[in-house]
Amino acid sequence: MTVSNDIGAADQQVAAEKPRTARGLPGGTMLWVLLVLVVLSALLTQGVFIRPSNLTTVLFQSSVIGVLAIAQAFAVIGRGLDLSVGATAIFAAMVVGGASSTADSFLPHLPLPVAVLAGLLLGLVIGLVNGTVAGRTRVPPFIITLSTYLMIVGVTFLATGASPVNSPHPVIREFGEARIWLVPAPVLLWLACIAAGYLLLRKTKYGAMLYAVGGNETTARLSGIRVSRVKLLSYVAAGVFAAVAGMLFLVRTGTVLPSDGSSFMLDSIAAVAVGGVSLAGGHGRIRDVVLGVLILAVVDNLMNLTGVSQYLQTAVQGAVVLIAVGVNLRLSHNGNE
Amino acid sequence: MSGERVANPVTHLPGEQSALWARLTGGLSGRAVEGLFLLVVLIGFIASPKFLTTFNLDSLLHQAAILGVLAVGQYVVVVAGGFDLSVGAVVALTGMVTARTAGEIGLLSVPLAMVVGGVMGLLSGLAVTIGRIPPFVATLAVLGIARGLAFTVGNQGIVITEPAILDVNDAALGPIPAVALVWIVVAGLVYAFLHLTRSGTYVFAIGGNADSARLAGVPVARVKVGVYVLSGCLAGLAGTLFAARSGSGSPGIANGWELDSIAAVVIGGVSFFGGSGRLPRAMLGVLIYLMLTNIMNLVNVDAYVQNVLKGALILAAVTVPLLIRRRRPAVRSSL
Repeated sequence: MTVSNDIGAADQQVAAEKPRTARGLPGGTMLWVLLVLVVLSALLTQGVFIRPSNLTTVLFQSSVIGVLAIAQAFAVIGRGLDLSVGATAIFAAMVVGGASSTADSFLPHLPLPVAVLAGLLLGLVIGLVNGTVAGRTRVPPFIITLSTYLMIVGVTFLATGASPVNSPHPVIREFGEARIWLVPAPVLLWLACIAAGYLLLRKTKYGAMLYAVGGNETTARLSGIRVSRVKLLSYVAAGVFAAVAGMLFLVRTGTVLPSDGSSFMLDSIAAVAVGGVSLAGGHGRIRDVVLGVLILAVVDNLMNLTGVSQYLQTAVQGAVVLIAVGVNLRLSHNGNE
Repeated sequence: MSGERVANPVTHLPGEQSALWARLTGGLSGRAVEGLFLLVVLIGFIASPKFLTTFNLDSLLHQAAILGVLAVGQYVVVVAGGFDLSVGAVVALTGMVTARTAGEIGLLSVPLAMVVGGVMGLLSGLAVTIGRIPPFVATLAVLGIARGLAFTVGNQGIVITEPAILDVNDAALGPIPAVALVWIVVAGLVYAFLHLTRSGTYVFAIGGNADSARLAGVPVARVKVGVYVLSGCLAGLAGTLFAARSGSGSPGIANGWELDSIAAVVIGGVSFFGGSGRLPRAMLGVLIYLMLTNIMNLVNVDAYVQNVLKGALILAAVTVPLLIRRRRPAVRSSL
């Protein structure tokens, strides 16, 4: 292991140097896009957008996708993809909600901490399955996680009998209503996930190895990195973060249906891509991921406030993804596709 | 193992180590799709007496025609090294276009739907080439655009009363529904295009290695745009076929059909890495995928269990050939 320790340290240096922010605009293109959007939104809504109550709503609503996008980023940075994050989140939300519910549910009643642990464990197990197949075979991650996605959805419906989970534990409800200096507690949990993601990617040997594997798998393997294990860990991280996102969804809505979250999978990938994380792997910072989530959330909120029809919003979101990713690729002179 | 082979790993193909191994695995993996097809037919025959009835087969062919036309487009994009997530939403959009215009322009709404689909494909193609956006993100965005436009055309279903369109679904040549013939003709034309024209060869070339193709003088961008336009047009055709079948256009339909078409193509043995895979087998993949769903419905398998089994099937269809061909030189994996 001493060999891989040295290499890990070297890669960590490379990874630390990677964010060449000066390539495009100072601070990165997407930060400026977000700022322009915020100013534009404030002007177009005559200030309604920047009222603290509206801003906290935007943050509150994007906390679920915010954490899901972190989950997705772990898979994407390692040149993978996780189509199962949304399904994992909903399954975890149903497990935590069901086990801690005050009403009858498909699970026996468990103390809240045990229920939360069960949810996290579920995410971990799904991540282990995805990661094992991704690490040990050359099956494309799209296919692996498409299959597990279908299976998780099926199992979720089977386990719950397609009925919703209601009236979660009172603590869960209180957590959703709690505010610390105006900031909703779920947003703080999102911030904690951002910090955890940052630390895992930037301050651990594992994070450095993940960038190396995503950048060039063959080089990483020849440098002594155990590629299959690094991939396994990246999908485990994705699974666990997805489970946390599911719990945030439970906190936000109080009721979870097995059919909820159908847009999570694609939204999480869109957010990651808009933030400027290359789907070709090896690049991308947690900061980019957060920016991607916020940009999409601001556009969404702006359209709601200005009364754009719900149906047209979907089309505009699609166009925003295209433009944002295209602009970012252009301005950052990022050669990879 | 001789030193020469190690020195030149490209020629080190599976089965070179033993002729017997080659014959066994080559024969198996070479005919795996056909074998699976026959196996599924056999399973259907044993599992339910209703499987091989004219009524059931007719309904299967109608479904297969729609997913089949969609899968032809998806196949071409996958061979070219991409994939198209927008096809399901394009089916919804073009179905709405057909339903909206059928009353005034009759059968002309079919080419109109194909043009609308083609425009969506053009958008994907330009995003992938000029925008250099990864196919996943580009076609995902176009999915959103097409779905939003479908709801903008009308936020509720539109009933089709135009007999010319409704006849498309009911027409038949002997026992074979006309829509199935449309599927066969489309697949035949695309097959001929891929194997008899220079542009067709380019599709395989850029899927195999886009950089090499570019250096060899292949107009990579133009071919890529072309495959997405083709996929969009065919999704438009599938949209009208589905509108004819359901007698209406509906903006929320065909959710997840992009995944179905990708699954069918992959079950048909088409490599997700691009550059290889045969169209006839991809079409068998469509039939295998639909027959399995059909059989599970006939024997009353719970819809949720079907989901689980489908997931397992897709994974197995890709994993097993890869495990058999494990000794092949490593190819850089892509999304």
